[in-house]
Amino acid sequence: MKKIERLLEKIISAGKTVYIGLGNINRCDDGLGIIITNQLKKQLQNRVYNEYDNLEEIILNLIEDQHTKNIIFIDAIDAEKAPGFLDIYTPNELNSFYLFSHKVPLKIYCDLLKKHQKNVFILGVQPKVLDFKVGLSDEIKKLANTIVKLIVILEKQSI
Amino acid sequence: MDKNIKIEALARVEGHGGITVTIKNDKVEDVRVEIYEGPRLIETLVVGKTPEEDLNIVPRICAICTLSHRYAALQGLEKALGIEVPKKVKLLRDLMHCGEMLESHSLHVFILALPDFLAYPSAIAMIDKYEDDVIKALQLKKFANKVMRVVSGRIIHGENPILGGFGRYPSEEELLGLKEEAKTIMPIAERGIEIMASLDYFSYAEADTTFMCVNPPNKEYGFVGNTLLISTNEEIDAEDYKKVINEHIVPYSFAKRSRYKGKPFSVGALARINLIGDRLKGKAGEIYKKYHNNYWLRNPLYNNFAQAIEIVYCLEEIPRLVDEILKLPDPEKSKPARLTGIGTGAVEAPRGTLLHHYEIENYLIKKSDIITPTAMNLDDIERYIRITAENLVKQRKYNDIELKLEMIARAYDPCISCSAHLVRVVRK
Repeated sequence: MKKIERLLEKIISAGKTVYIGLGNINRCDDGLGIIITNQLKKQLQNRVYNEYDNLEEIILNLIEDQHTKNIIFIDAIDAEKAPGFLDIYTPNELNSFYLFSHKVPLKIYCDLLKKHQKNVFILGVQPKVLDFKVGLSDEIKKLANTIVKLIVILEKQSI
Repeated sequence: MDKNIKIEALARVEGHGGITVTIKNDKVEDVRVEIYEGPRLIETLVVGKTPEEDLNIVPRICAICTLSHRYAALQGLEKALGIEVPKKVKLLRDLMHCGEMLESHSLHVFILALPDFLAYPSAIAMIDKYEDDVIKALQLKKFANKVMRVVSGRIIHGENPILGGFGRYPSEEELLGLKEEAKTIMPIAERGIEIMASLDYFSYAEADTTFMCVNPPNKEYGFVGNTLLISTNEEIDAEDYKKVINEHIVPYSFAKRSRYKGKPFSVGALARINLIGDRLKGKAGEIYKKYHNNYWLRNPLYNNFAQAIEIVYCLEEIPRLVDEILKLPDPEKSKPARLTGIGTGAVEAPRGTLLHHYEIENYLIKKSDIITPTAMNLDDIERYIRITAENLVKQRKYNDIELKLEMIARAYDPCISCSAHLVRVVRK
């Protein structure tokens, strides 16, 4: 957690950061990104979105926004680690991150953002349960709350 | 030469599917479009439910054509219950439908199909040279999402269109915003036409087929009607669809397939443009006159071009619909005239004709039948893949045979486009 804290601090302190949650809230821990961003939305206005928002609009606005330096996608990532394993990835590290069926592949968004001098990261959490069920497992829920608190603190520090 | 071509993991054909082509001794032995996804039983799920419950369930069949399913269900249910909807409601439904067409077509034309023609492995690889066009496609999609959100209430699974009316009517300001933006964004659609007109549509897939689409009333172009038009010069009442559309199953696929009087047929943008394209007016009409020719009747690859024309049509239709809508007051919700009845809704989804048939007894659904465009197209996709494979094998053009076959499947936009890049070739 300390490593992630330091990395996040470095990213957030470098400039305006936008958060985009990904996932499926009907698949238990896969909904982590959406649940985290739903909580963050209350505290960081106009800088937090999820994949159910108009992603095309968000990305096009970000490309034009000179102030935004970083975009952090938040998602459940199967890194074959213990449940709750947390890391920050770059888009190139995650092949499956690109495979969106009949949607615009996220890689296109990432490439466009990078071409317009944005730093793109993925904050990934190893899920514990991916069954068809609404709500996070206790372990991941606890971690999601910690991530929300951490981001809010780091954002406040960076002001 | 022997060759086993396997296109795996064809996502979004209501789930998982694949294509297998077996070539033995330089002869195409077998072609299979396989759907692995298990039956979803939606038609059974709605039995015993009220029409309102049905409207919340059936759009979940597909998150891409969610509004088409809602529109077709509304039509079928309202016919069954004798509900006459006011003109404003119909116009608003047509407006939301334009949003869905734009969203689906812009993704398919620019992001999923175009890379093949420009010799890129994917749209991702196109970014360096065609960044501007990719951004334009996203602008088009963004606008399409806005149309759906403003009119139906949400980008996906909009809840505003309800039985007999609308939950919340969009404001004049919102509608005028859509009208202005549709005009501003038109150059993007024209760029799409320019690109489509510059492409080479290979001829290995050329063969005759039967086309079908919904026949909009008053000899207008459009996506909704009460009769089905067929390229055999036939026109049948949508209620009689079972007399001509026969469903059958194949052992290697979970999806039911449809045939027109026992033969494969095609639905979709190309079918619409071929059957009623001469009704197009304005810019879309000019484009149709300039580019449409007999090749379009025999080559499924032109479905991509047909979609590009429909993008222009929708952008012209949106301002017209907004003007019409703003002339009319917000009506009260229409009520059912009866609690028992039978009705069939026929709507053109982006991928083709979509039918929702309902039998209702005492305001509960007794029976339902839903036939999707992908089910209608599957046999013809398989047939065109076979024709293409046979022509390529005959000419011993094995080099990019997988790509050519993928392009045929992708041209139909049967929700398998994105995964059709994942081809594995096994040489015997």
